[in-house]
Amino acid sequence: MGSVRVLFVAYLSLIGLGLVYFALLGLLGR
Amino acid sequence: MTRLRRIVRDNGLGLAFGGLFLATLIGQAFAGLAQFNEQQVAQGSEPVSLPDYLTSSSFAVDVVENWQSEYLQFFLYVFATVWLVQRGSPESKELDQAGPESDEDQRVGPHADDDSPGWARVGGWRTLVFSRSLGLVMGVIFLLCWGVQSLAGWAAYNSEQLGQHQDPVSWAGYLAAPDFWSRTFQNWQSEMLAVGSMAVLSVYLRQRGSPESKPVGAAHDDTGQTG
Repeated sequence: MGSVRVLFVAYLSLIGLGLVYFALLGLLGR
Repeated sequence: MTRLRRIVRDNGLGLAFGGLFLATLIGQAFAGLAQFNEQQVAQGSEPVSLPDYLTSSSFAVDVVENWQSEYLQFFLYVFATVWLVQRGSPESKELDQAGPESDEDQRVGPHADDDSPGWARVGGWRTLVFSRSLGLVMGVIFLLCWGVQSLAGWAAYNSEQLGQHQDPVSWAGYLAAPDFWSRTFQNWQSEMLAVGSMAVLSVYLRQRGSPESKPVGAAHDDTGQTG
């Protein structure tokens, strides 16, 4: 189950980091 | 079987779709850049580079407006299928099981198994939250994505306004703008059609070997069976 847990965390991290990045692009008005 | 082979086999779905996501995002980056630069040239502005485009609100809103609708789809589907059934569909529960079901059926609290997750066994608020965690997380991601769509869409809208020598709008003003709601509804409508299609088409159609389908020989009237 170790690799499954890594994938779970990777998916949530990808979504979280993506959202922070896109929010910053919006807030910085680029 | 080597350790690496086992990891790849155990995670086939997650790895394949993660890889397809990255590949299609790269495709979107190049196609989006070409489209953006067509508009720039048509407006008499300079074309932009790929790094400039990837750090633009225009790229951000195009990506995240699709994200929000996908998470809305799963949030609604996860919650709707608790209460609504569809006769004959493998996507549905059996007709008499609508609702959150009994603690015994759900193996919660004293009915938990030895290998049940701790939060299923413990009771109280933790079991309450864990019992709804899939829908909750999908719903939270949807709201965050929709919020980020409004920010990135606002910035992209205002840079277009400035390019056309028109006044920028406030964030609240953008929330009432046709651009925000057009981007929102054009994504939502397709999700609703796709989810409804999956529930209804799977009554009479089969996909051998897929857990999204009934077994090929299952009766059209069989509900809640997966193959």
